[in-house]
Amino acid sequence: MAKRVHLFDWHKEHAKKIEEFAGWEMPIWYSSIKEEHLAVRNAVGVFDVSHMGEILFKGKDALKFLQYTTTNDISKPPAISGTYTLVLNERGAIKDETLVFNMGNNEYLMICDADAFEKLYAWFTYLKKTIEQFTKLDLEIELKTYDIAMFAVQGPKARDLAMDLFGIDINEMWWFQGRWVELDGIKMLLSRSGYTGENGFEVYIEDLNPYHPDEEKRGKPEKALHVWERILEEGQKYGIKPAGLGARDTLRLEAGYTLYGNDTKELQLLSTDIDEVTPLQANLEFAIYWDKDFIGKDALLKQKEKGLGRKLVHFKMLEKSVPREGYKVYANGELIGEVTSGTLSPLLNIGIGIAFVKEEYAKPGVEIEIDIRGTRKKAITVTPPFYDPKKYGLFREE
Amino acid sequence: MIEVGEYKIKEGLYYTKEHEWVQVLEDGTVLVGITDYAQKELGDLAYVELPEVGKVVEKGDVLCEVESVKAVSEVYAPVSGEVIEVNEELADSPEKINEDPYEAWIAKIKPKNLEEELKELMDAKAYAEYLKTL
Repeated sequence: MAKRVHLFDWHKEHAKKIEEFAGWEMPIWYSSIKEEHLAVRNAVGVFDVSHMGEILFKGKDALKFLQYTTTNDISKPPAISGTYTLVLNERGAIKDETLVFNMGNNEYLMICDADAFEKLYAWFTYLKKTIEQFTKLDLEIELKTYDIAMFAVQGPKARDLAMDLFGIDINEMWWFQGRWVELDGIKMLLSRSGYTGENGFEVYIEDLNPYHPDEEKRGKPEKALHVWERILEEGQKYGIKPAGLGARDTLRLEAGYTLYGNDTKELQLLSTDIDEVTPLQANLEFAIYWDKDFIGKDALLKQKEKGLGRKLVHFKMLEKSVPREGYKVYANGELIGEVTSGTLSPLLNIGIGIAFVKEEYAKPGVEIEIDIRGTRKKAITVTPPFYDPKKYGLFREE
Repeated sequence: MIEVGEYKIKEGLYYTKEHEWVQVLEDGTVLVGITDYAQKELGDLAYVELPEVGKVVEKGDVLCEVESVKAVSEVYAPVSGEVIEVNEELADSPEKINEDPYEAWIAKIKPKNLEEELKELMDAKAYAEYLKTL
């Protein structure tokens, strides 16, 4: 049976389209993707992203364990703040893109993708068990996905809304900084973060979930529901809209962000080397801290020497067409790769996407063709974001 | 209009199980479009790949494609005949289909076997019953 988030019943009542995504029954749109998308770009929207995974690492060895099993340096950011870091397999391919919060007191909270958290939890547990054949670790690994409701409030009006709700100015926080806040007596973690390209924040609320796989932990999500409804109520004056996963996907793609499972991935059963993507191929080297050892490092160093073969590149259509995952990419008549993510940009009204192509074509300004169900249509590679960063997104000029 | 849940069904039209509608005009030609149910399932329309005027189709052939932000869907010819006109307005404003699916016709067809083929289509009441089963 499909997994369900805390507020599934609310979504069932309000969303026009509910569909399964990554094993979760989720709201895809409430009114329309376009409306919700534009609400986020122009005002503010709120997403229930409780399908995202959370894994808690506790103990004196937690930091050391995460330093070795993920790519970035999470030893420096003070509590509470998050670090974008990648989990790799031994071949250097991306198991998931994650955010790890230093919560203080030797506690680290990892936020990971909906379709990866089970795999990651198994992976970390297995690694811990392996190490513990030799030496006991002061480390507990706890799966928290079903216990934590997570809402993302995104858009240029998110700052005002955070002020109204919590009395804090999120612009005084650095990106990925977290802090404990309270709303009507409900305590929650708030971080300045998001996945839309816009300014905004995310809140994490521990609560009962009526659909918890563990029957004993089931119950009414009163706290989560209250916070969700207060965000919508307080956001009304800014024109807030609840937004579904449809708009979340078009927004992240417009901003140029990769999605694990589409653009970055590892294969469970390896058949060819183009079915996996490493951080070097995904332009995610900024999330690698080379001055430490970590799982996958040797493979990446080898890949640097050998050449990447293929790389991710962003592109926009020059003809009316919507590129979609799996469509073939050509240049000068030659097959050079495949689309990994594609959609119609609701803001720009053109087809946009990300493709995994031969390395020599993975730079901006290259004319390519996308095979749209048998017809090749012209496109050009670009540098993200797709929108004008002076007018939209976190760094807009106002 | 008949309403089934949030879906509107216009009376006087004929319907297919694939959610196309057919309106028979006085001169014996027909207009073809997609239903309210179809547009709501697709969501925001991105493009309508209009058929070419002169295209000859058999009932059940792919007439054209409509594409939303989320998905692509084929529109099947609900009757056999020749496409004699297309709604050019949809090329630039596909959202017309979302706004009023029974006004935003896609193609006008000169049917070749209308009387027989209409018998195989549903009227508004039958289509309403059909929607209840989905």
